[in-house]
Amino acid sequence: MENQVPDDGVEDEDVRREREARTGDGFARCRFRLRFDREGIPVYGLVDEAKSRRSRGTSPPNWYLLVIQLFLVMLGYKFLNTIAVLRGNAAQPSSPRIALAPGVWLNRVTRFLLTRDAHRRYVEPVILDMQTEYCDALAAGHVWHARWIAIRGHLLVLPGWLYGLVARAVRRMFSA
Amino acid sequence: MANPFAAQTELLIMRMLRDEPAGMYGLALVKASEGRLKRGTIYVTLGRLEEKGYVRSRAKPDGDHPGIPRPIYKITALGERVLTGAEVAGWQFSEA
Repeated sequence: MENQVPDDGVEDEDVRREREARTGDGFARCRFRLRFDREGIPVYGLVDEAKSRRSRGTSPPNWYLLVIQLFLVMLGYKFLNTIAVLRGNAAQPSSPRIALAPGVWLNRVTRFLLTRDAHRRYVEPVILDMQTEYCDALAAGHVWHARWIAIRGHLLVLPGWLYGLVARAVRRMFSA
Repeated sequence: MANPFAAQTELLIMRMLRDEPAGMYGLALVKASEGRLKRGTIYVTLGRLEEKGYVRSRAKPDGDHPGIPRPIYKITALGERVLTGAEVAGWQFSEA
């Protein structure tokens, strides 16, 4: 047979390459495989087996696993950072940290939910006062007092919000 | 004649604004009232006075506090006349 090893034990190089290309031996152990056409001439060069398998659809894309892993890493980092901050041994930032003032999201939500007039009169001034007090407390170094001001400010928006809702309902009732 | 002030807090705010011609922020009114005005309801009362025309507000940019300008409240001429009339008539004692 033509693929048999000669009696002297030395296989001809061309015969070996042709046999391995046909049977998939030899190079199949490698990460990359050389492809040959019918005449034994390499036509594609080195082909990544894993990529080739993915392109044929034999393994599903796992990009969502990467997203989940990234999310878990971020969550873990946030958790560890919170623990470090609570224990007081967090690394001091080399530069001031830029953060949103408290109430920014509340302002956006109430602006969406209430009428423009009710928001401008009853809700926005409360949020702006909260931000002013918060900044003053932080500037004075009273971090916990500033946090309390932020919480209290969010709660204080409720009366103005409710008043705005009730006033709008009454106005609609009497205008109809 | 009916009392134009629905509550004593309105009268209190009008007096404080009359004493401060440059105007006052809502937070400054709360702090100056020594507990008689509440943070959660001050703007409801101020809005009611604004609707009556006794008070006007203007959002004035403040160099010390960047961001959205806070409204500063001033008493109007109509508000001053009504307040004077109310004090002459003794309305401030009617609900005490």
